[in-house]
Amino acid sequence: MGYVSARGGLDAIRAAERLVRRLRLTSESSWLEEDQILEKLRLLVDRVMGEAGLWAPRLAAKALRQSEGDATEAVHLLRAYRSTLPRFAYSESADADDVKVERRIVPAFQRVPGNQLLGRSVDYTARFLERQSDDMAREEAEKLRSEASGTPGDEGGEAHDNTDTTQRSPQRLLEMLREMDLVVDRRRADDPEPFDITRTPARPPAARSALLSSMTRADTGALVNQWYRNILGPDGYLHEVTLGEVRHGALDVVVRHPVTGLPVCVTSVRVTEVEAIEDLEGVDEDRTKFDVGYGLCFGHNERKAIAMANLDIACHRDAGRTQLEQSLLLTTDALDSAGFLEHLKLPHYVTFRSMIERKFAMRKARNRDAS
Amino acid sequence: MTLAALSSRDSTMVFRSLLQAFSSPGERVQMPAHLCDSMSPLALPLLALVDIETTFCIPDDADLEAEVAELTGSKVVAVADANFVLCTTPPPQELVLHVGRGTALQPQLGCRLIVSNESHEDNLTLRLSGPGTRPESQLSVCAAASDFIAARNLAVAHPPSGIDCWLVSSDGVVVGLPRTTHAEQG
Repeated sequence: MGYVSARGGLDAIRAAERLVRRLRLTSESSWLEEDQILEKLRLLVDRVMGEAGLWAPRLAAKALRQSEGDATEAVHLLRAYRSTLPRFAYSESADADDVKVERRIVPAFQRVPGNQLLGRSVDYTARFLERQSDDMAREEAEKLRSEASGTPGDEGGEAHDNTDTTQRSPQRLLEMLREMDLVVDRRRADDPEPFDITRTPARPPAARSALLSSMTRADTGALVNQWYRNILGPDGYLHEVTLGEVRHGALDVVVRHPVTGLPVCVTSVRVTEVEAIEDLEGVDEDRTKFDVGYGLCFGHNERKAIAMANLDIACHRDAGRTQLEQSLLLTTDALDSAGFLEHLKLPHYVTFRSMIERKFAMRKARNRDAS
Repeated sequence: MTLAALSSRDSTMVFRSLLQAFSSPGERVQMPAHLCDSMSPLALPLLALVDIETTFCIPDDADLEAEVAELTGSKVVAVADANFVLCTTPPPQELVLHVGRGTALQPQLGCRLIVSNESHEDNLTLRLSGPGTRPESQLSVCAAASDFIAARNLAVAHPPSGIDCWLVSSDGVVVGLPRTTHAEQG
């Protein structure tokens, strides 16, 4: 059987492009509004913004609609769009202590300053698929709305009840541990410029800022997988990790006004922040102390921030002994991995034809040797 | 015509035009008409693409260079160091051979050269081949640009390093000549 190379047609490609657009726009159901995506699929919007490295809820909603719910494709659209935007200014350094928390839990300590603030999380809901009819669900929604509007000062929902300023900016467990001299102090006196992974690809050995930036933009599933592989997989060594802080809240973004030079808050972003406390037990480590890993990402994505914090400290302790840093830097980005995978669908006529020719050549040589 | 900073929407529209021009070398792509009517089309690629993290230079028009720097916050540097170079007339060979071409490992550092290209009766016709071109792809450049084309061909002779060019006319039509395109007089 012969193997004949073919040439892809530009017209066929354009027709396929038109087909995607036409079927998306002309589907029978009613138009999917951006507000619906923002409200009903808020966690997906957050995830897409985090992996795209762009805080733009409405654009993320548009991207999700255009990608028909394919999160990786939506990330691709946002990153591509982001790359076309000019950079006007650099933001001032933000202090994570300025996050106004909407949720804050400290699994390590029962009684911590500022208390636990459970907030909006499915952690405490039963995993029962709600099979009520749409009509019943709408009826319940209406009832809840009218109840909420009848309760003065309750517009923000239950999570906002009785929450004073202290609880919005609570003291960290880490501060308590530092006061007790229980934490290795790795804070540095200098203030180096952070590595910008959007301009230069990070390669090992990389600065910690490069590692953290890469993880904050990484595919959530890839990061969770890396963490789990580290715990139970072939890399397996069991970490005694306890979460010190899990926070979700709003953080102001401040830039200097180009004319007045004064700091101006231009927007507020929601972030998830995690501090993971690791029990040090290595022979070359101070076993009387703990160490801390850090994770922070856009939006509400606790799974990602927890994996990130755990991998941050794991990478520090690993100190280049294994391929962990390389795996994190080179294999967890959704666009890198999905892009490479999907390129396999492009025509490989020439390379495959050469592989076939090599097979025939080897077979011919083997037959010649046999005779 | 004075320049103005582009909105993100206008910036994206110009970007799409430039991308289309690179995707189909030789194709005449019209940049957004409402922008071409109100400011110099030659400056639109710079207004859309340069920012505080990129560098540029306009060696033959200091006033335009100062205006673009003011509007975009982009830094003016020497020709050899510039990410973007704009020439209001066909550039001499020495300049084209002097701009950055990147390296085999970092070909993305090659310069993007924006060159004014007006129609004249004595225009040269170049036959184009390479990715994105059609069998009949041609490029018409003014006769004064023949040195520029010859130098450009030398600058792209060692891929993947090289330079990418946009030829822009005063009516806002842009034609792409990326480093992957082979151009020869037809």
